[in-house]
Amino acid sequence: MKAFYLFIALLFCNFSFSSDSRKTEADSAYLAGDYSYSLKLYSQLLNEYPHSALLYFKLGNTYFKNNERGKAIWAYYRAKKLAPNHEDINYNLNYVLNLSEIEIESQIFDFSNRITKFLYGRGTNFWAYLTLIFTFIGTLFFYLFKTIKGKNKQRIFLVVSICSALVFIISFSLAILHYRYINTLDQGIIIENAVEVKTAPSDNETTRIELSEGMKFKLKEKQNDWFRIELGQGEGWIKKSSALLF
Amino acid sequence: MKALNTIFLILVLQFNLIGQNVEVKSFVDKSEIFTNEVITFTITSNADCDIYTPNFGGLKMIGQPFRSSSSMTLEVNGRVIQQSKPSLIYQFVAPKAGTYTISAIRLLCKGKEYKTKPIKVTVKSIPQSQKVTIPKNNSDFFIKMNASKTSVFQGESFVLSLKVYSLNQPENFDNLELGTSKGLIRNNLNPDQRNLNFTIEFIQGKKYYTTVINSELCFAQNTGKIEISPALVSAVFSRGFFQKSRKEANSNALTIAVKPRKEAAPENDNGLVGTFSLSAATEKFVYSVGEAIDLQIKISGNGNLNTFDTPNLQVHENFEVFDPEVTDSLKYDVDGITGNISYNFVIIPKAAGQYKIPPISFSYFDLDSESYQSKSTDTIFLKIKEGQANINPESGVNSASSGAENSLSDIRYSESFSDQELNHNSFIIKKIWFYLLIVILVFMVWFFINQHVKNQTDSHQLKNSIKVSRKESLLRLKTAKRLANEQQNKDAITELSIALKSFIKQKNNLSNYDMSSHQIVEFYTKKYWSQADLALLQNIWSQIDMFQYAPISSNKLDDLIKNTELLIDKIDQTE
Repeated sequence: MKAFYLFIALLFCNFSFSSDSRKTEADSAYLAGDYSYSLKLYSQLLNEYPHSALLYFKLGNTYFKNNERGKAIWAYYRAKKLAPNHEDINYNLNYVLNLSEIEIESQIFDFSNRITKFLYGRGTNFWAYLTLIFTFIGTLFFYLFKTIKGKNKQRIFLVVSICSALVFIISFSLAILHYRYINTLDQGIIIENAVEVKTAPSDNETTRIELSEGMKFKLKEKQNDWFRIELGQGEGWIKKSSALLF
Repeated sequence: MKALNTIFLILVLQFNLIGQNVEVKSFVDKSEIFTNEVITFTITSNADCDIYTPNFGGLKMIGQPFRSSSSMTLEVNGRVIQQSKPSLIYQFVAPKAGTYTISAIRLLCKGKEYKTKPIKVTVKSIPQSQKVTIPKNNSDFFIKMNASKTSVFQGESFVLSLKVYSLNQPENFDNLELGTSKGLIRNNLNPDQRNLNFTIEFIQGKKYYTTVINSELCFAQNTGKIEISPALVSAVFSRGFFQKSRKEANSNALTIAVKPRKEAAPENDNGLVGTFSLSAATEKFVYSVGEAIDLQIKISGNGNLNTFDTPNLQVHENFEVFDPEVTDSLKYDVDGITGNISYNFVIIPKAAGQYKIPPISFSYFDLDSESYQSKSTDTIFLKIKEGQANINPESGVNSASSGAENSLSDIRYSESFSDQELNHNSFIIKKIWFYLLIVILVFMVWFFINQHVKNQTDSHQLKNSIKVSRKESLLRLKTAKRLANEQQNKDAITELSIALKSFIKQKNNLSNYDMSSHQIVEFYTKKYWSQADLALLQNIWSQIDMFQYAPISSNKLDDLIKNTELLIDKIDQTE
């Protein structure tokens, strides 16, 4: 039982972001307008807290202030992936997209956006905690089903334990899907101006189209220093250094 | 030892204290002492108690125990009660180093026994440097000067103390001349000391009154050897009521070796030795031109903090810097100087723009690593906006804007993230404990269900065996009836006996030892059988036993078989 209590304690212990003085320093550097120093500190912090929506959001703000709109859009998208329901992230992303005269994602994607918000907008560990809760409920009711007499009671206990098992399977699957969703870098943002999209992964190939800074694409393939991307109806190759993935 | 050896009838309550709770307590004045140092052990109670002979675990008692008493007056429901709380006090010394246990003291108070808690006393050997030898020429009154360290680094603190040893307790000290020294900063740790507390120590078998007359916290300034000349103390003793005598004694001299630091001192060395930290902070990051900025630089730690120089603040020429207000909170004790010093600078920006206050750093000598350590503050970024604060036209404020300001209203600078969102930096499904917790939960349920099934199986088996036994006894009853019809009465009685007794045994899981008539009747009495049923059981049992050896008529046998059948039914129905 001691081990059980220990794990419960671990479960609820605060995985807190230690009050890192670098965060305060980065914030003050941002407010004072020293964006390059602020960027350096935020990037360092992100190495330690790679799933912090707040840090990506602040990084986006700093890139924007530093006139690096492509990188700002990338950082906001990354933050949005981690916290899709956050109003300020969406506001700033739309603001920068508007400013860069980049079309904001059309309403066709609204349904999938809503699904994404519903599934992944409840925090990184929401589904994992739900898994644990329903493991507990399911096992408890299964135990009651096996031990307590009375057909009606047993029927209720069995139904609850089966439902909990189903919720367990669903939430565990969603927890894994969420993890994969966050860690799969299958989209990207152009971070340089006038990036040439080649027909093949070579500088000597013909240019199919030019992309402007801040444009979003789907990643199809990686090859050495090149990305094969899909944009609208077409495909092509761009240099890795001209884009950031999220 | 059970015999009660009454030592003292300790306590007498002055007034009636009916209903008062008895409290007994024992304690020592020090739990850690040196060999031959005196320790006081006290037993207190608020009731009339006898004490069983205590066991002091090898500590040597000095003289006889003595009594003391404290009293207080209480007012309970308008009634004034005076309560006294006497104590019994022992004094001990430990002849050898080690751990001694004063066992729990047993007291008999108001006819009830009470126990105090056992007490452990740790006795250490006196360090060689502090061992006292009695001078031959002046053994009844002498002074010893001690240093907590005789080899220190330059700037390291140590404590210099003067201890008086006297065979008779002095009335007071009328003169104290401290020994002189060069290159030593000395701070008296008890400048306001008025009363001296004497303790008793045994040195080479003699009882001495001792007291530390003076303690100083010292810092060596120069490397090499520092000589501290002997101190002079004169004490006044009373002889009878009117006569007084005076004695003088010189202490020993001391030499302190001051070691040089192993590394060359860095440029920003302040001469500090110890452990320190440094911080700098402003209240906010955005100010207006002309608005006073409070910059606090704080050094804290343990060591010769008082030698820290005012920090050299280097700010942009667009700031006017005023001399800092210095506040400190320092504590001088045997561990050195502990606390902090705050330098509160007021700086006033004269022009808008973005500025940095560069880090302020200093080095100190760390005693643990015996090397120099450096501490720095963080860079402070300040954004100065065009003047909204009152600007003094005489201060020469430059109103030129840096032009670097971007409006903050375009994008949102949000701090509205909840802590949870901020902390979502790791996925628990990647953690081993997550899976372990699920496995443990499932395993626990499997284990408990298994246990339950096992228990169920055991009771099921018992039920089955009772059923079989019931069937067997019914068969035996049938056989008994058949044998009775065939006039084989003795065999019928035997069958009847087996049918009844084996059923009772199986049904109740009894052993052969429990199968006497008396025990079975007692057993069913506990099962709340009526007197009539119990009488029937006893009657049948005795008839079966009797007719195994005596002839029985057919009618009587038939009745016995019928009654046995009824009895078996009754037993079967009993849970």
